Amino acid sequence: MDIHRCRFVPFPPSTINALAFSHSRIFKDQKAASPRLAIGRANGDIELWNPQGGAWLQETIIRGGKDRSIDGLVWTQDPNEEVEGKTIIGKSRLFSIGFTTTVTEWDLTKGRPLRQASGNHGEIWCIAAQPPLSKSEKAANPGQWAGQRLIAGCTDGALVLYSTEDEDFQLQRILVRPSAKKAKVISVVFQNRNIVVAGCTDSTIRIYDIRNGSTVRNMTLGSGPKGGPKEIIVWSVKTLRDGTIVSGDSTGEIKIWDGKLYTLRQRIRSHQQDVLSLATNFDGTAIFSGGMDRRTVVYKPVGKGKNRWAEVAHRRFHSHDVKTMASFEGGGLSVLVSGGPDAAPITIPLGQYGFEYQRALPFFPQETLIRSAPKQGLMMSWWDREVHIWHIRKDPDPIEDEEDIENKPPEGRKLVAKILIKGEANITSAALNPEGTLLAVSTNSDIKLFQLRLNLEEDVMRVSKVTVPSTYSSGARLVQFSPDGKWLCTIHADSRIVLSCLLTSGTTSASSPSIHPQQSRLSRLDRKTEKHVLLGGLGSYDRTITQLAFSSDSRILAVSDISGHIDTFVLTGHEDLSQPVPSDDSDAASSSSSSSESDSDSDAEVEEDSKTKTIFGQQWTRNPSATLLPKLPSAPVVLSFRPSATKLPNGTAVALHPTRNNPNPISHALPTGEDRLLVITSTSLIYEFETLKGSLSPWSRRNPTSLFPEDFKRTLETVRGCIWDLSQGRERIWIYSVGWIWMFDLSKDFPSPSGELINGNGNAEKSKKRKRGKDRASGAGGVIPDQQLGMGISRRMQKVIHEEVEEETALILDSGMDVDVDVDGDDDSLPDLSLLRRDSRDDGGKTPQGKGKRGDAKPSDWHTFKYRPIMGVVLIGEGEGEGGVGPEVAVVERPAWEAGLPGRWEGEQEWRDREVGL
Amino acid sequence: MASPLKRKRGPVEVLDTPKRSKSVKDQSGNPLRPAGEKAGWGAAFNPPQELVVTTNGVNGNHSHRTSESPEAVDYEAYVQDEKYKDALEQREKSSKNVPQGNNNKTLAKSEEQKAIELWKLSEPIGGRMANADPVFSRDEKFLIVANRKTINVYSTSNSLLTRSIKPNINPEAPRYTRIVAYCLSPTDPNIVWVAFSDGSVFRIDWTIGTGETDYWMISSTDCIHMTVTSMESAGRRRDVVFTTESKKDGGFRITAQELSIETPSESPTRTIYTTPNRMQFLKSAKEGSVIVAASGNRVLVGRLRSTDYDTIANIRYEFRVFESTEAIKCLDVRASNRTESEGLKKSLKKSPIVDVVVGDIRGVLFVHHDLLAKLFSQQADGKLPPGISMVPRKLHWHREVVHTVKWSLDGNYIISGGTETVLVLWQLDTGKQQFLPHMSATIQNVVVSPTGTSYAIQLADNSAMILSTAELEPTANIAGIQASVLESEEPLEAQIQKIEEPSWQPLLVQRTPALINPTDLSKLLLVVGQQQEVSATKPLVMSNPFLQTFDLGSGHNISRQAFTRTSITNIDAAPSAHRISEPRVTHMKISHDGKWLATVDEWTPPAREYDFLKHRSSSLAIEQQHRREVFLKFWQWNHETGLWELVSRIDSPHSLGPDSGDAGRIFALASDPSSLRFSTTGEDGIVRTWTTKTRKRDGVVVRAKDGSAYKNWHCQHAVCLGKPELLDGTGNFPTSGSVAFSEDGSVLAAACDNEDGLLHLLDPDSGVERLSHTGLFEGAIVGMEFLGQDLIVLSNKLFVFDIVSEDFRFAIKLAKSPASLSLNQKQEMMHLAVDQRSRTFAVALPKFSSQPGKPSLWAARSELTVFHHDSPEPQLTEQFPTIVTALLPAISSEGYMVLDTAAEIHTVMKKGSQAVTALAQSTSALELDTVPDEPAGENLLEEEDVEEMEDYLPTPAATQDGVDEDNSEHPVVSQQQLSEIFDIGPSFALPPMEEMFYQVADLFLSKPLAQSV
Repeated sequence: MDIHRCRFVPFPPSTINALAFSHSRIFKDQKAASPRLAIGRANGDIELWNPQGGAWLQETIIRGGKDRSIDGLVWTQDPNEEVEGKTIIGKSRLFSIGFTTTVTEWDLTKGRPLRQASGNHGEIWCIAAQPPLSKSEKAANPGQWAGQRLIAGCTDGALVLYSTEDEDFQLQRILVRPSAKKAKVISVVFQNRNIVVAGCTDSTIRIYDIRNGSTVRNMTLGSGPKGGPKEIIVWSVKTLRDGTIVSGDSTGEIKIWDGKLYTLRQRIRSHQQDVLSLATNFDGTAIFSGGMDRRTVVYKPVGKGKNRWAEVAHRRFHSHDVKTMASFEGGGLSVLVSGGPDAAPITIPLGQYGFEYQRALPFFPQETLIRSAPKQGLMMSWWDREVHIWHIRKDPDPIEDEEDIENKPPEGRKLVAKILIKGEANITSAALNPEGTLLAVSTNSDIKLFQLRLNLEEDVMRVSKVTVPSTYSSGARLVQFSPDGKWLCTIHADSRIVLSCLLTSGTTSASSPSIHPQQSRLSRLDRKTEKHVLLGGLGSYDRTITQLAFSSDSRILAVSDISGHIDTFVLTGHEDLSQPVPSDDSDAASSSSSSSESDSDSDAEVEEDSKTKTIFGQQWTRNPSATLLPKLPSAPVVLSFRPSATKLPNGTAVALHPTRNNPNPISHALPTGEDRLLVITSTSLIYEFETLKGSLSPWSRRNPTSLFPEDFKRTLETVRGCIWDLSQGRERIWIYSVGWIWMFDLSKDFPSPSGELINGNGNAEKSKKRKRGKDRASGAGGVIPDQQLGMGISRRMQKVIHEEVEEETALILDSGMDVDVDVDGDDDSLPDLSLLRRDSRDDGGKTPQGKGKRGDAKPSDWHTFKYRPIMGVVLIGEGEGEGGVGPEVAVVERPAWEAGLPGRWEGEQEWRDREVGL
Repeated sequence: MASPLKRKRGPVEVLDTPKRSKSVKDQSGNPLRPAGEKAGWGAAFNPPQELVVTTNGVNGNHSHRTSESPEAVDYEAYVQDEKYKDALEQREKSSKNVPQGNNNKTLAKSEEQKAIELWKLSEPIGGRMANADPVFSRDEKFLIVANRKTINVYSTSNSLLTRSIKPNINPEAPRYTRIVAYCLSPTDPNIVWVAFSDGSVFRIDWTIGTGETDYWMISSTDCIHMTVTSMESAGRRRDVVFTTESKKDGGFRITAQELSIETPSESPTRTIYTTPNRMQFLKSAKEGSVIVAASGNRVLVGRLRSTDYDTIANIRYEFRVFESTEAIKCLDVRASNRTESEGLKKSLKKSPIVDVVVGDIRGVLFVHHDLLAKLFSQQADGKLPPGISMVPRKLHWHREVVHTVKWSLDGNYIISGGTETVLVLWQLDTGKQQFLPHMSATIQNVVVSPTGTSYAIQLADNSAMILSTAELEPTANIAGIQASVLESEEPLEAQIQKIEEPSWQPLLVQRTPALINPTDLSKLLLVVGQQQEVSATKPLVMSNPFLQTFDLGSGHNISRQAFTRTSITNIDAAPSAHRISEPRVTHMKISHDGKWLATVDEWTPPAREYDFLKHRSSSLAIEQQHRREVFLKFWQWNHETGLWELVSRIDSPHSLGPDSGDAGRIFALASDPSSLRFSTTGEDGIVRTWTTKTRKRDGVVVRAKDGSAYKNWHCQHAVCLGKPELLDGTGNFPTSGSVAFSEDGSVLAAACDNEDGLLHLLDPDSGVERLSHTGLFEGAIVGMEFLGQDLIVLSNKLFVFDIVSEDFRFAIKLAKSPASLSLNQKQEMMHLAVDQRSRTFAVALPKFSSQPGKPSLWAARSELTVFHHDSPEPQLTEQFPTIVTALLPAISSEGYMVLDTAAEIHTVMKKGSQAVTALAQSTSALELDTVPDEPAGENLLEEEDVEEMEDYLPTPAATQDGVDEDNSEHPVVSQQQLSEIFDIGPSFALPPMEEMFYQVADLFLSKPLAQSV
């Protein structure tokens, strides 16, 4: 494989402003929706992450828009209901603020705002949710509404209460009237159901009762330190379970206040700069603080019953301010996530702090933001509202080996087009057709189509807009061209699948292409989700389509959703271009769209046959054997049809952009081309299905994930894409994630462990599962080996009674969560652990050890950690078939140090000067 | 398994106090070898065979007035190896006897005895403080600080030495036996327990100074650490001594001993823990119910299983062992009573709250709160109860090893110190730190006084101070000699890999420039550095930018001032983590009137800073040479400030070659004993003479306030030795050289190395070469001094050359081992000094024993030999167990002062003369305080002294008859001898009358008195 190493894509990382877990603690027997982490960024994006037992997956991104930022996020949980003996789990609802006067509730399924509420008050700076009614409280007053209200603190000193009752969202009352005198409310938190604690900019923490809006107490922090501003800003307040209030302020101290008397109990100086964020664990035995000095500090209580806290340790996990933190315990996890302007969320072990590694999650989206048109040598990337297109020229004489792109003269690439999308919404997806003549860009509000004309002599590109049908005004989640360039598939916000036929695509004429007015709408199988699941928790969020793939002959379409379902569709019939293009059939379009909307609510009724239309004699229908494909244990992150191997020698095909021409279709029959679909899930399980048969391919059957190399099973990073290499009879697939590139040879089987049946893995699996429960990490980076522990205490202790070594016993418990590791309240919520091939005993994926080729000439797998962080790998050339090099790809890296973070208050080593005061 | 320990009686030694200055030196108690042992000097020199014949210096063996090298009296060394010493002695004796016949034999013997009579070595003063926690007396009126082998009691009110107690250790103990720990007995505050590294434990009453003779051997191998606690069981309270030591069969153990003075012969002992790892630290709390020990990176916490034991032999402990992160350097325990005990197991309800703080070699402090209860609260199933967090607090401020950490009495603070020279007070509740920066050196030990009102801090520069807790102001300061010392063991932090600093290869100990102020004879000036410990296996190139003035009379530090640029920074490291190097003062001389001081310092930028020039220049050393800085500085004494003031600084007084602009090293600096004149020679082979010039501005003399004219120093003349074209042609610069003024300042002898040993005699006034003579040295010239009309030159041969008659008086060839040393080793470790008054000169030579394995300075020692200028037969030969770093004449009396790597000053003097250092006595010895109450025990001891002395007196007694026959009946006391007693200083500095009486009486009565005292 010919690799170009690229670092010129200026993808801007966006500051993490807010982090929120949908639950802070899930008990063993608690009925709750599976937890999600919402990350709010300064560019207005909200990312939804699924912790899934430590295999963090960024599931979806709710795209923001221009001048929109997410400054605060909060989840609420509607109370559970009992209907016909079944518990309907209360809905998880996500609210955000963005330095405006409104609070927005989000529709997670559609990725759009659901409701907004605002009132006559200043800009909202902070928001907090009322704690849910506990069982004992519920027993005390059975009539009370058990839901969670929201309190918002405003810059004009107002505190506003919003109600979330009755699946609605509205302003309930203004608790504290805004006034010019009042200081800004910077942080707010509920101490219990009725008492709210607000940290202000005037060195005061104010306590209010929401029942009557009366001030309970004002706690002042005194005046600021000498030489600094007089007023102390209380950046963050949190309460512990016993009511103790913890505050972090601009003096770099955290202060611990008595929850009953509202008096200062202790102050701990642990930061050299402002404390910006605080987090606690659920039972109130640990406090974490993050500050402007980049430190993350852990506090633990000292001595039993003394109510004194002490800093236990601190570290610098971030390269910039630690702006926000959130903690989660449950389901085997015990983890703290922190974020800041360095854009990468960092997961820190909570219960096992110091005994497990931290882990930085990538700062760019799971979906690769890079596309290419290999025939033209075009590479495209997008972010926010911009699309950049580069023309990568072939190296006339590729003497240099891999990765030497930096040494190449800059003429190797040229930015040929920079497109700024009109409107406010950020781009959700973009696609290039294989010829590089069409660009489709989708936002939440519309889909745009551009014609690209590359002038090779001058190396410039002309971009012109193509008119699109009015149905495209609703926006889309995903867009993709088929490999033959004839079809444009769009996935709409409500996960509708729409296929449009491009009329003049593929022709070199300068005439503007247009879209066939008739569109095929495909609907997925009804997966028989029970009503009570749909109504509660996250609703039908997990049916959100995230992946989409065409087969190389463009006759099979596969889509997958978060829940792990795969739907496949086939194109039947002969292409008959003689059929007339009907005039814009607005009636049909509108009716179909309305009906499909109603579909989506009831989740795809079985009317699709009447809806699909025959276009040029061809018709998209559901694959008859689609039902045979099973639900996967975790969300697929890569769908890729294997390109047909019986192609012309240079017809090396790509995963996402195969470049093969349409073979002769057989009328009214299923396509006969290559139908093998490779699926990689977020937990790095690799399957290959024969879609038309609805079964696993022979290779996949022979090679279950348990046979994959140990090194691969140990990696933590989610797979982000793949590249096929089928040149010269090879059957190789190159899989990449943020930190590694891995090659598997699909023509070979992995060596099977002796004495274990390949298929009958029942017993072996069970024993493995039991073992894993013990040394599994709690959601962060994996267990630190004994000899590298830096916490001043070992895991084990030796017991000696008068010269006789008696025994060794554990000193450090595994996290308390582990007891309930394998029991999950919701079957669907977490992946089936028996299929989790992950073994996080080691930090294998973290050490950059480039591993050379193994001894034998043709290994069945190979990997490298040389490239990181990989933003994407795309095919940019056909590859020199003669030389046997295989496809020519560009590995796009985006190192964080090149990303250019905003300026810091505190430099690298300033503490040296200040330290002793010399 | 109790093995009874027997208390042993050490060899009795009469302390060499002025009171008994005549007493015969004890053979075994003294670390130094007694004089007269021929083996020693034979090892350093090839002793001349026909010594008797050559007494007048006109030896037929060498030719007169030739430029050729004289026939050195050569005596083929028998052995260079130590293990053949015995054989050597025997053979030497026999060989001496055989050729000389009977007459010669007796004569030689009498000569030899005479030498023994004439010279002796005084008890050392000064010394290095042992790296162990100092001890406060319970009333905080005294602070006990131990030296290598002595216990010194200082008064906290006036910082004066109150009492010095020297335990008599086993004579067979290894050379480097030292105090490893000492603790105040919790039962009896007058008792201090002292543990030596050879495994002996002393119980000393520090208030009266008894107990120094008896000891227990707790281990036949060694002792690493000790702690003492008071335990009560079976209605008996006793001191229990816990020690950690290595076992004979490998491995290490902790033992508990009850060392009782009532039953000294039967002391129950019990091993309570054994481990294959070395245990470097031991501490007990709460009357022995809790023991905490450190072994590598492991922490041991033990608790007493039952207080119901009758003897120590039945004591039982239960231990919990866990690992910390890095090797543990220091540890402290604080036990307090438990007030709340909910949620604890029944067995732990009454256990104390044990807070432990651990400091490791990477500078991290770990604070374990309530460690004991947590470790022992394990449930039956082996699991810890929920809610217990074992994770300690991590306090990381120190960049490098934490040398010491202590809890404050109330437990709210911990106090730590390390190489940062900052005392850090951690306020545990708030996480705030308080700093006391810029202590003069690495903080080695901190102790909190019993009432918590003061801290005692021991620093690595051989000083200790007491700080008040409230204001952090010093209330007492004790400083010893800050010259470089050899480390006593490899420090724990050596296992941390650090950036390599330049070190001496082959191994050597740098010389310490030292001199005695001729106007104030009790003032010793020493050039010292900030760090003093020299690594035994990898001695770094040490800088020594400070001048320490030490009062020999009182044994006190007087002042310290900087001589060169000193870069004292908050962090004593450059951004590249290298140590900041400071200049090294290589020479220091004082003018005859004591008002002017000349110093030479040199600084070479570290090679690593010019790594980037590698591509340009072939040799990094040349680039370094370009940037070398050498200064000759002249300092004037200022009476008002009591400091030396810099008057003139001459940059690059010598260049690297005749045409070079780079600064060349200076090999020698000499001071004119008659006028204000100094002379230097350096790498350019030029002798420069420096003298004063009255400072003028516009022709007007610049005067100070008191009307005296200011003076500047300038180069009077420069004389090129040897032929410059020769120097030029070869491009080889001289690598050694020397200059010396004659006693009256009329002749300046100068030489730089050349093949034929060419030495020039110059007229210092005019710079005219008067005489040149070849064959005066062989190999590199190390030192040169005038003794009357004789010129003594130390090189591979020791020449005594009469410049008037141009005759060699005698020449002695160095034995093979000193002669084969490298040039650097010779220049830094060979010493030559002359004493004009006694017409003697002394030579100190290093001696490396050729033990297999890694070379180490621990195997090195020094040998001092004193010669009379008339005789090649040494007057005194002394083997020092340490290495001599400075040798200088004791101007006040006949004799020499020797400074060694134990930071001790020995005085070599004639019998009957009074050493200046003899005054450096404790106040109790001077009996300034209280009525001398002589307990019965002391009398007893002295009687025993006498008895034992008689055992080995016979030999000297016999010789006495032979030589000092008339002395015994009618002692002739010369005026000089008397003046030595009375003229040792100003009247206020004189010893008490009693002392002087004894000294005078000694002169007249000689031996018998010593026996009757």
